[in-house]
Formats: sequence, C-alpha cells, structure tokens
Amino acid sequence: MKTTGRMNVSPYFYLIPSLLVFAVFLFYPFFKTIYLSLFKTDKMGQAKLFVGFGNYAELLSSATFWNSLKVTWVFVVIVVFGGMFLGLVTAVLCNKAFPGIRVFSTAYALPMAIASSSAAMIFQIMLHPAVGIVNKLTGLDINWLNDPNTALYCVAILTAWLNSGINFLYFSAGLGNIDETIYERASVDGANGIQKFFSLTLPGLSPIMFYTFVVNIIQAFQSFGQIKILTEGGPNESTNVIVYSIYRDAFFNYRFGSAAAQSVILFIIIMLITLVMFRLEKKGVKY
Amino acid sequence: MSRMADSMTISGNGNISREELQKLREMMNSRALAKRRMRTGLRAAANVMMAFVVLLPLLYAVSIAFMPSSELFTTELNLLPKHPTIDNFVDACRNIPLLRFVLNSFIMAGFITVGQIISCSLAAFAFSFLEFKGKGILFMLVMATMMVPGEATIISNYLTVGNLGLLDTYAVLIIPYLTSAMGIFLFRQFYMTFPVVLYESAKLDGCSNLRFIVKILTPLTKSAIGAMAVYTFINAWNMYMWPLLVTGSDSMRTVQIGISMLNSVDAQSITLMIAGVVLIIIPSISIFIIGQKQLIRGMFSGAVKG
Amino acid sequence: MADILLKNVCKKFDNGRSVVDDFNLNIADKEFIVFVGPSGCGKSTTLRMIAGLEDISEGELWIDGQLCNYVEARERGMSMVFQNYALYPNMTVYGNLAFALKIRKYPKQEVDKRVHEVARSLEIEHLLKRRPSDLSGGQKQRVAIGSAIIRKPKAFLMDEPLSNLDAKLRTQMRVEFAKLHKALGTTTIYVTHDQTEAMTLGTRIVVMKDGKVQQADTPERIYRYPANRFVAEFIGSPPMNILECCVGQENGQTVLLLDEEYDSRFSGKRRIYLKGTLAKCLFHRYMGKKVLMGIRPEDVCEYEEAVSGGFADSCAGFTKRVKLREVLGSEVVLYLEDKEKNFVARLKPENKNQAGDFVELFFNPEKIQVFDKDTEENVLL
Repeated sequence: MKTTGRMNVSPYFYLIPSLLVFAVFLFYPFFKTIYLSLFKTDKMGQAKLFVGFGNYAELLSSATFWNSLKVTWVFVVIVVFGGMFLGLVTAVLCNKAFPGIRVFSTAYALPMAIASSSAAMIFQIMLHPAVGIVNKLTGLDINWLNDPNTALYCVAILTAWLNSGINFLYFSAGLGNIDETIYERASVDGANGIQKFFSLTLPGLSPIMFYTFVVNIIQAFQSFGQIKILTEGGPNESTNVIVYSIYRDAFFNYRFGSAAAQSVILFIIIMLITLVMFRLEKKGVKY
Repeated sequence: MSRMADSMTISGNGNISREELQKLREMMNSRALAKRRMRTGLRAAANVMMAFVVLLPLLYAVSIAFMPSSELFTTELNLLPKHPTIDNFVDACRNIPLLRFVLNSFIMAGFITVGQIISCSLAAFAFSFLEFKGKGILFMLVMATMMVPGEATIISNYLTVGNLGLLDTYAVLIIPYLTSAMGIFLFRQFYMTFPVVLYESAKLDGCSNLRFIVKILTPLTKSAIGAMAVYTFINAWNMYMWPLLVTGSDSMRTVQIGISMLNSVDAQSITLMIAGVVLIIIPSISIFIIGQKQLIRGMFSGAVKG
Repeated sequence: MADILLKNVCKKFDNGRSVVDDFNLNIADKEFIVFVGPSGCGKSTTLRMIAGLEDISEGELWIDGQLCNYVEARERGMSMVFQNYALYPNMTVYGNLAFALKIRKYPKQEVDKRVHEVARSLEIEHLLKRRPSDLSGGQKQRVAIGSAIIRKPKAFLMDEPLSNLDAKLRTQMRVEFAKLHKALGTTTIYVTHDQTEAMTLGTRIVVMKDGKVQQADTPERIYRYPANRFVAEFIGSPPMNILECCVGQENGQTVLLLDEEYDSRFSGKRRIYLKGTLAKCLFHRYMGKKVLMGIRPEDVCEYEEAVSGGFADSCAGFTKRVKLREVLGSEVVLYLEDKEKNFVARLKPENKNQAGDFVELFFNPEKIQVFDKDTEENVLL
C-alpha cells in the first residue's frame, strides 16, 4: 500500500486541546498519585522515602481508615437511595399533564443548580439547635450537626436532596420514553393502576434507572463541600468520609503519601463498583 | 371504583327507557366528573406538597435573608420576616468583596464553558467524521477518564500547579477544566446522527474541516451546545474543592469559597450569611431556569436513550 | 363471545368538536365487522369507545345485553391489537402472552398450558424467550395477536393491525386473520383505512367519513350498491367512475343522456336505456334533471362484449381518447381523458388501443348506479 507511508496527521490536531488537558491534569496526576502513594513525602509534597505498600499497610491497619470506609458506605447508601427515591417520586408526580406542570418540574429539577456549599450553609441554619426551622417545626431539641448519631444522616440527606434534581430529569426522560399505548393495552388486558406501575412503569425505567444508579454512586463518593462546611468530618469522625479524609491528610497533616494511597483505594472501589454494575446489567434485564 | 360501575350495569338488550338512561347518564357523569376532579385535585395537592418540601430550604433561605437578625432569635415559629429588610444584602456586600467574587466566578465559569464547548466539539468532530490510526483506543482513553474520580488526581494536580507557581491565578482555576469526557461524548452522540455524506459533500464543495465545524455542525447542534453551556456553567459556578485549594486571596476567590468567609454561627451574621448565599444562588438558578428547556432537549435527545 | 349494540353513540371533545356522530350498529355474535374510512373519520375513536379507552359522550353501548358506557376498560373483557402492537418491551414473548392471565391470577400451570397452546397455533413457540425488540414486524404482530386470543375475550378489537407491515406480509397476515376468525368465531371489530382489507376480511363493512356512518353492509352489497358517491369512490380499486348525465325519455323509455359534446367522428348513441326499478324511480323523481351516474371499471366493455352481453342496443357508445394504457396480463386497463378525473376501463386483454387512440365503450345498464347530484346519495337506497 502506498498510502500507509504518509500518514495524515491533521485529525490529531482536533484532539490536541482535549488530549493535552487530559494528559496534564488527568493522566499525569493519576499516575503521579499512584507514585506518591508509595512514598513518604515532605511538607512540599516531594517524594522522599520509598516505602512500597507501607502507606497502604498503615491505612489498612488504622481504625480511622476503616471508620472512614464505613462512614462512606453508609453515606453513599443513603445518598443514592434517598436521591433516587426523591427523583423517582417527583418524576412520577409530574408525569401526566396538569395545570402548572412546568412550574413543578422546574421546582423538582432546581436542586441541581445549587452549589453544595450554598446548600450546606442553608442547612446549617435550618439545623441550628436554637433558631433552626427543623427543631422549631418538630419541637425537638437536638443539636443535629454536633451529635455523632445524627450528623451523618443530615449530611447525607442534604446530598440526596442536591442530587435529586438531576435524577428527576433522568427519570422524567425515562418516563417519556415509555410508549403510551402499552398502558392502553394493559387497561384492556385488565390491569389496574398499581399493576400497571409495577409491571410497566418501573421495568420501563430500568435502563435509565441503571444509568442513574451508576452516576449517583460515583457522585456520592465524591461529595466534599457540604461535609467541609457542615461538619469537617466530625463530630467524633462520624462524617469523615474518604474524600474528606484525603483532604485532611493532604492539606492539614501534609501526609501526601497517605492521602494519595487513599485516593488510589477510592479509585479502585469506584472502578470495581462500576465494573460490577456493568457486568450485572449485561446479565440482567436489557432491551 | 370498578365495583361501583359493576352495580351500574343494566341488563335488557337495548331496552332502557329514555328517562332511565338520562338519569343514569347524569349520575355517572357527575360521578366521573367528581372522580376526575378528585384525581386532578389529589395530583395537584401532592405536587404542591412535594414542591414545597423540595423547595423548603430555598424558601427558608429567602425568608431568613430578609429577616432582621433580631427577629431570628425567638422561640416562636418565625417562618416569615415580620419586618422585611434588605440590610442583610447590603451588609453582606459590604463585609466581604462579594462583587469581586461574583466577577471571579463569572470569569472562571465563562471561560470554562466556552473552552469546553470548543475543545469538545473539535474532539468529537475528529472522533465522528475523521479516520485515523488509534481512533478507537484514543476514544476509549477519553471515555475512561470519566471513571477517574477527581480526588484521585487532585493532590497531584495541586502539587503540579504549586510547582509551576500558578497558585492563585485565573489560569489555574480555568485550565484544568477546559475539556470534559462527557462533553465529547455528548457532541459525538449528536454528530453520529448526521450521515457521513454530509461531511463528504461539504468536502467536495471545497469546505475545510474548520469551516465545516463552524458553518455546518455548530448550527445543527445548537441544542447540544445549549445543554452543554447550561450544564457546564452551573457546574463551574458551583465548583468548591479545587478553588478552595488553589485560591488564597480575595482577588481570586470564587463565590463558593468567598461566601464561606461569612460562615459563622454567631447571631449577627446568620442572616447576613444567608443573604449572601441567596445572592450567589441567583445567577446559577436564573441560568438554569432560562436554559432548562435547552438542557433537557440537548441532554436527552442524543445522549441517553432508554 | 358477545353481541355488541351501539345506539346513537357520539363522541365530542371538550372543545365541542364532534368526532363521531350518531353511530348506530348492531353487531351479532361471531361477526367480523370492519370499520373503514379515510384518516380522521372517527373509526379508531369508535373502536376505542368500545374498548373503554375513550368516554362515550352520548348514546348507549350494550355488550351482551349490558349497558357498558360506564364500565371501565379492564372490566369489559375485550382484547385489543394496536397499530404499533404495544408489546410490553420489558417482558419476553412468554411474559407478553401471559400478562393478561397473570393479572387475573390464573394458576401457573393453566397459564403455561395456554401460552404454549397459543404459541404453537401461531408458530411462535421458538420465540417465547425472546424480547419484543429482537422480533421482526411479522413476529411482533403474531405475539400481539397471541396475547389477544389467549384470554378468550368477548371480542377482538383491532386498530389498523397490518399498517406497519410490508405489502407481502400484509397479504399473508390478512389470510391468517380470516383463518383465525373462522377457527375461533370470536366477534371481531377491525379498523382499517385500506379498502382491500375491509373487502377481504369483513362479514360486514362500516364505511365512515367525518364521524358519520356512510353505509354498513356486507362487502358484496357495499361494492354493488354503494349508498352514496363517497362509498362508491372509496371502495374498489380503481374506484367507480362517476359521470354527470341527464335523465330523459326516448321511445317511451327512461334514458340517461351522457352530458358530452358531440363528436361527429363517432356514431355512438350516447344514451343508455334503463329498465326496472331504477328506470321507474328516475322517471318519477328526476325526469329532465341532472344526476350522477356511476359505473365500475370492470362493467365497461367494448362493442363485441356488449353484443354478447345483450346490451349493445340499450347502451351508448361512449367515445374517449386514451391517455394511458396498462397491460396487466389478465386484463388491460385504459385511462381515458375526462373533464376532471380519470375515467378508467378494465377491458379484455384482446384490446389493442394505444395511448392517443379513440375508443368506443359500452356500459352494462344492469350495473349502473345513479346518485343525486346535490346530496350524492344513491337514488335507490
């Protein structure tokens, strides 16, 4: 072949801007993080002492880290299920046309436009033990964010609320994709509303449900701003999710090596979950 | 409901007197009407309640923002300010350079948005219309970046930009976010719906690649661009962790970081802080409301199919 | 199995627009009724009212002697086949077939037995584990039919079930519908816009237009005695030819005078002698008036055939220039120049006329239909 000799290079020009950014700010730091995780570092983040898997060994034997994992797990479960449930309920409520539907759908999607930091500050006041609306409405006297029993739930619910906006959009799109006539056929076939919901609507949402589920998990693992502002990992480490632990180790304790090792572990966890999910999807319902 | 209808079935092949029928019709019509009204009513009520729950934090924030701080500390339920005031907003702007923060955020989010749209459409163009060696692998590589959580890179990135002496500049806020795998994917998904003939015939007409992107692809993918713009802008505006790490001075802080400077729970500053929060939520919410239709159409017509 | 009675059924939308107007029909058990008409004529709406998917604005719907206006769709015991098949995408073929039974809490073995029975009879047993997205159009169609018959419903309602199939498959499925109806004998209401489907399937056809029933009768009678000009032109392909003419009298007999300019090159008599009821009716009501005459393309012939048919003397020689000639093997179709529309003649394959030729044609007076010029109604019905 004659053409193989002179390769056309122009296609690569179009990729340069993106690939350059990815290379410098994603691929390089990704491998650098793995590299750092094998070292003890100085305060400037320079790798000083090669310790092999020493950082990992330290982490795996540290109660704090296991606590972080546990806290992250509880947090992710609440955020994913809470956020998806809220998104699903609002999407179903907003599914059929009725007056004012535009207003309601905007309202349900709105949380996606709100920053985690802003939301955190609003929740801080809502949960304020003296002036907060939550205590006033419920008549309770709980210091929500300073109580190790409640702090994690508060932060998780706030995050679920933040994520519910985009979940609403996903589920609305999913509902819109369901063919209207299968409901008519089901009516003639003798199904009532509840049967239709469970045998048509929910399964009809399953492809988008799967996608939303994966996106929500990844997002939940990465929540940071609300925890930094509301609890800073406390009280008593009860909200010290991995991401916050990474932040604290790196930028307060200057233990970049350990923080890098935690980042790698976090990456492995997320990757494993994603892979398992995709494997499950291939086996499970697909159409 | 069905049992009710069952009891209303009337036998007697076609023999029903006019009056009987009229009576039955009136009864059933009014019943159906009542049922329909009840359904719509229930649905509307459920929606109002749900919307109230979802919007409660925002409504509460707005209410507090207008409340004089003296009013906040009472034991009674004070949902609405009795003497609304805008002092909080004025004070918030006076206490911290809020306008400067807003400007910083706008500059950052604006550049990120424009930059992403350009870089992503260029890359997506190459991935969907051009043939070159390693295309498959490169595309996989780009998609794989979606799996890498920001936390896995943020430390190294911080060290990198620190070593480069870029800390506390606009550049450091913007450059790492100038492209996104999701954007490339979204645009590619749209471009794939166009036949290759579109590109080939443009080529035959002597149209250069860049011209093809600007004159033909861009107008055809307006909805994708709109969706991208809204989504990217809002996300950039709401970014927290990266700006927190790399900015140190008031002149570079973005709103999300700057607003935390108001964060303290002593009585005087609660209303002030919330007023600040309300001020900085306004831009992202406005853009969201204006661009909502675009966002939905663009995100869901090409990218996600059930 | 059921008989269905529709009495003065109307459908009006909230904005006052009326879609179905005063629909009356008595459907006996085991009938195969076809609603046919152009799109927007209200045929689908009527079907959906019977199914319970639309409210009935006025009138009565009786199923098996029970007034069913206010019975919900799921209580009516019908089954319906939709235009897009409306298969449940998340269920396998088995699940689709079994759905209606499962909902009614049939025992598992019974469901299983019936599903296999139905699948076998429709030759889709090998597809039971597949999902609808993996099926071809024809297979989807079979699954849709299968899920309709599995319940042994009171009646089948079919909403343009063949319109998404290609022509060949459509013909094939048409035959199967006919077979199925013969085998099961279930009352069937079938909606289509295709007059061929209507003619071949229906034991009775209901022709609709603008929400009104134009004619409800057997296919033969609808074809032979269309109630008005619309039915005449809608049923049959190519459609019935309509010519304007004048009722007159000649030699004591009622004649139709073809309203044409005289062409001296031809010696045609340009008139048709009528007999029987039609002649009497025209004589009494339309003498000297203009009417519309309808004649089917196959009832037009050349002189030789008119002689052998015995009507050469009682019929005009109708001369026209040939615009287009189509040879179909078993026959020759000539398209002739006429004022507005084509005039079509289906002739014996021996015909040799080419485009541009003049041809002299004869009409079989027995087959002529006459319509009022203003109301366009058949004068005899």
